[in-house]
Amino acid sequence: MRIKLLLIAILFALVCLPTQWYPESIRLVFSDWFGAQSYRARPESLATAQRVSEVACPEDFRAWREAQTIAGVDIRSSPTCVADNPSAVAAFVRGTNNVSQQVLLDSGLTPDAVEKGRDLDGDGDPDEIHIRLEVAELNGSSPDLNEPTTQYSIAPGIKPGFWVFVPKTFGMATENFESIKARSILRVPSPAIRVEQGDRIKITLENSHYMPHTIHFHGVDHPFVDEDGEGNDGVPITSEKPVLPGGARTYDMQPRQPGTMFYHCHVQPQVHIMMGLQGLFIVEENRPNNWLQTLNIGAGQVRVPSVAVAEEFDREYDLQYLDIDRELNNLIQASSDPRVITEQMHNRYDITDATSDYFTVNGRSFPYTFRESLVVTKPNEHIKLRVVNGGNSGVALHTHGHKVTTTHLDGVEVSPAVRITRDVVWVASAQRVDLDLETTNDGLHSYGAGIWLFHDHQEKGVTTDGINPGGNISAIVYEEYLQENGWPMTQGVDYAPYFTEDYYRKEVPVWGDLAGDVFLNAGTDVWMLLRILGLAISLSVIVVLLLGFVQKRTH
Amino acid sequence: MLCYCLGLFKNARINGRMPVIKIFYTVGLLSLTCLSLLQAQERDLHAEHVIGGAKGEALGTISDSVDSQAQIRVEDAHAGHDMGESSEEELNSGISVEDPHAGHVMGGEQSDHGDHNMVLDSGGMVMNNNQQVLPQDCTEVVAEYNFEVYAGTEFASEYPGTIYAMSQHEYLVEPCSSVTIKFVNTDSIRHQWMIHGLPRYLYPGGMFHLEAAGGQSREGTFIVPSDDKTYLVHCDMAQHMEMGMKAQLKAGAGSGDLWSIPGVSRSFRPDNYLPKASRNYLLWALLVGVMLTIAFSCFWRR
Repeated sequence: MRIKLLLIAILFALVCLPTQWYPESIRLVFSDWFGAQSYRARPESLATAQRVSEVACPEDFRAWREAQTIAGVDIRSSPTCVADNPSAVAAFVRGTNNVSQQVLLDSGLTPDAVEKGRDLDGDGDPDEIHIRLEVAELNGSSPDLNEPTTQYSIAPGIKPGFWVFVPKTFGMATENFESIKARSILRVPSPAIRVEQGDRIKITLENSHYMPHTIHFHGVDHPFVDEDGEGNDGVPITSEKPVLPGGARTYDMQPRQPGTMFYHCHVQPQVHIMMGLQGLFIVEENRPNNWLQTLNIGAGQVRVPSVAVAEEFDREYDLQYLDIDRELNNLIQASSDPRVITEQMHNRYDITDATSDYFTVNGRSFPYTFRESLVVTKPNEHIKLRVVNGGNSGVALHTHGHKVTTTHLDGVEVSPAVRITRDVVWVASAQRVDLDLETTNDGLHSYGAGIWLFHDHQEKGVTTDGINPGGNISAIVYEEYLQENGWPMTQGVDYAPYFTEDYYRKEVPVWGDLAGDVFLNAGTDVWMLLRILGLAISLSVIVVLLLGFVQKRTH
Repeated sequence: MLCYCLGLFKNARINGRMPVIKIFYTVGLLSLTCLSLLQAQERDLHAEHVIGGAKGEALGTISDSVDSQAQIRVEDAHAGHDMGESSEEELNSGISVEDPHAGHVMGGEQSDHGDHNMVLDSGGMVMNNNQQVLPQDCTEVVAEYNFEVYAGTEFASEYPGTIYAMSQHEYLVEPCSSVTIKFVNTDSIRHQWMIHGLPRYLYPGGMFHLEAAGGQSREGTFIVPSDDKTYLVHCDMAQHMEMGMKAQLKAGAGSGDLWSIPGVSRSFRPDNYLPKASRNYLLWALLVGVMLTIAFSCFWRR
């Protein structure tokens, strides 16, 4: 009985075994005997699921994009889809202590967020500046929610955890009580800080986070100790104890040299810098009536450029690159206990084993970069790009259609005689490069009007977790190629699939829209699946029966 | 899974009556189960990017019914949209509701701020202060409460695993009573005492809000309506509620406890706090179980 069953099972297994799995020698013999097997159609393509895309270019219902004058500050228009809050820009230029209550309420800032005091050198602009920065956590954990709180997406559905320096605001961290999305002023990267050469700067770190932090002013002229002999360099061992949660510390400086510099937290920097506690720090040349936009939220376009920059350039953009290892950044989403998070991040996480998953410019990856990080131009302009690489791997910044000239390296001017013009600029970690993007159509500096990408040419940089198009792709767009609402007049494939979470979850065929009938995902061969399942079942029957024989013998 | 295990176990017994085989099956299946459980837990720990879902009902979930806070919110939203009907009361109330969009909760960012009855300076802010105007359903102020609340890191030491806390995390008041909060901030950074769910016709955005800069204090009053209800009180700076600054105010009997209130209720999604060698302990426990089974079955035979 048992032997019969065994034989049936073996026979069934042989029948189920797909013919293409037979040894090749046997297949050749069969081929000689029976000829080629007859045609069987391959599985049909899977139908594409209906997906609802996000709106690519949200409506600017608060009229933040337009050129306007607020509190006597002329704010340039912001041609991209999403613009900074112009009231905040005005408050940063005048000082939050010098604007009306209405401007302050519209800006969301506290009256002491950026205080501007006396004009010490009598040149018509304030020289005493006091900036107050808090620390905010984005996409952090909640003991009650199964998803991140104070949410900030770098691309559709992608919400790595971040820590950022933010200006001192009043009210809620979210858009409103019903929303768990971060308000627009709380975002990545930390704001670009602009001060004037020779200004007396005070920067107060109000540590509103749950971990110790400091600020280190990388490349900025600052004394090692302040007037009271207290540490002023932000380094926990050599300079000062870190600022504990709930505490505050003020850093003093009077930078003598202009240039594009950097600031970042220096506590456990392998973690804290990579979490987003970093920003551009720009010292502008001292000029008369030089009212600076002290903070540039989320970097990007400078809507009120300094006197010196406005003389030489038509537009100015701050570009901050950051790559993200989600194994680090998402640790803050796994626990709501600061002790557990501290241990996981600082004892367990090992950056020497890190690989980057996300690549951002100004806190976003494609396609969100097209909403707010386009460099918009007209022909025959000069545009100043201040680039910092805050990430762990270098950035090989490539501009399509243009060759850019490096004018400054790490804030120090390159002599005009030896300046290099090229189309791939290497920016190592923490390096700053000032670029002159010239849009003269001479076949060298520019090849003419269009929508020209600029991106990291290390190819992982143009992906989001390996999915292209993503990463830090953005574009230089000539105004004639820009729609009224700020979205570029692209003429290639439809961008709608990139505005779905499914695309970056790797569920959308990449050429589904281009030639869907050919490149949709293949369906399943049900017949093959059934044969394999049959094979598995008969094999397990065989094993059990054989075990039975063994048991019988030993009994 | 369990049925599957039992089925195989039975088979083994019928076929072999061999304890070794039984043990082989049991250990294999149990360790598989445990490993898959551990795996699931680990997946949780190293959660990859969590992709959206329903909004944060659990922010103020109530222990006896998870959805009731969501209901409270829905009511709020309705209250907001009903503003047109209640506008007469507003006019009579003397409280200026200047924001025509106050009802459109989702309309714009910070619609709960900026346009309200607000006093803002560098020391802090008082929003929607109301000492006099009664809610529609109250005929008089039945009681007056004065709470002096301290907030800062020093109060967190009482509750392990928190960073920020307040001196008081639960407030019990009578319906239709006036509540005066003196909010004292003992830290060097901002903190907030923010209550949600108040009637929108009286408190734009449904909230009353005190904010004190480092070392400052702010005081304000509000009057609660007549229903028994639990209100969420918190500091809405990023992560401050999550790190301990969460409290509740119960009018009358309240409507249950909210989750994650230090000293009052557990977290809805608590951490595990298992030692690092948990996997080893679990395997040892499995082994002990197997040994006991063998010992027991031997004993049973005799």
